[in-house]
Amino acid sequence: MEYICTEQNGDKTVVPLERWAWGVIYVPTLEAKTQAVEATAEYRANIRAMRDRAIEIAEKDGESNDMVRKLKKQYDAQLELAIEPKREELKQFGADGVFHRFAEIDQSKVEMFVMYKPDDPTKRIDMPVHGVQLFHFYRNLILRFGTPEERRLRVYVFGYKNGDNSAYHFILPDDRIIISNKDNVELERFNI
Amino acid sequence: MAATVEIDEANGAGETLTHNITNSNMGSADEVNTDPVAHPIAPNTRTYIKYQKIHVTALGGSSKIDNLKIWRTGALGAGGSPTHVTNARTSSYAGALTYATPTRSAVSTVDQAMPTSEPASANLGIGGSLSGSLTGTGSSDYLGHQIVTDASATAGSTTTMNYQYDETA
Repeated sequence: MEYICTEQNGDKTVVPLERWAWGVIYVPTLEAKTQAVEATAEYRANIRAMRDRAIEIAEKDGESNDMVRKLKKQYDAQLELAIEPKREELKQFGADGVFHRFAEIDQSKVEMFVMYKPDDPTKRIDMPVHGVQLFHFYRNLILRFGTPEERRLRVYVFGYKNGDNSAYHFILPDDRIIISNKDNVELERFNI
Repeated sequence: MAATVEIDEANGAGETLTHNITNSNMGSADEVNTDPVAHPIAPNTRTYIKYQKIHVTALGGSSKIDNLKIWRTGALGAGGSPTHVTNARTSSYAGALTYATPTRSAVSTVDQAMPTSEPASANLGIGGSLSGSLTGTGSSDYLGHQIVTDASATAGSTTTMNYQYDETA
């Protein structure tokens, strides 16, 4: 699949999928919350109606009190469930083929920042967010330039700042993750 | 997408720029990708200064390149006290180094010891400032660097260059 980045002047660039990509989940909107409350109320009303009908039939069929209590308990457990409000998401590599820049994130509304491997659903990092400044960038290294041992590496850096506190996460080329409160981690020390 | 970045080097009186050099060999010849065996330097002399820069040829969907760091790895030499001098520095940065015909003499502001590990912050500027950035195609300030040997210098050591930059998409 191709992902297209559109510049302000309309120029388009095809952006290859990264090894790790970001995504954000926004806090639900008021409308989504209202819809969820309404949907939950409707769901529970249906469950209550089903429960009452089932009990009525059970009693009519002469089922034991234990059986009726068991039936009621089963339905009551379902009444504890609620419908979660729908949350909007923004992915760096959108399912619609649109490449999104980090600056497009509305940070005031982010509930969860996610880093994931597009080719491996088992690799995912969820970072709950509340009132912090998120950041994400790539750190590119050209090591031992011009020698047979030259390596060009890309490290994925993300995290947050909150006043004087910072958390930097460095995803190394072999997927090891280093977490530091400082930006200037000497990555070469980790045998990258 | 990764921005497309190359190392360029300028040589000669007319600032002949070679794009995407493949090594940073230094010696007694002012030429790109020089052969240090064919162009060694004698003890107590200097190599020609190298003028190199980090060149962003395409942003590829990214929006900013910044935080340039340069350092070396490896030994400078077994004999004497050779030094590797540069204009790259993390503080008191002198601004963009102006190109001049490469020389084997000392060059003003190219007098800082090349770091032997990743510096704590940017040490090569963009637009004359360590906090500068590239938001389109363009180049960093010139990185000037030169090996200085003393009378006791012996042959046989190798030091290599490392470059690092941050990219925001």
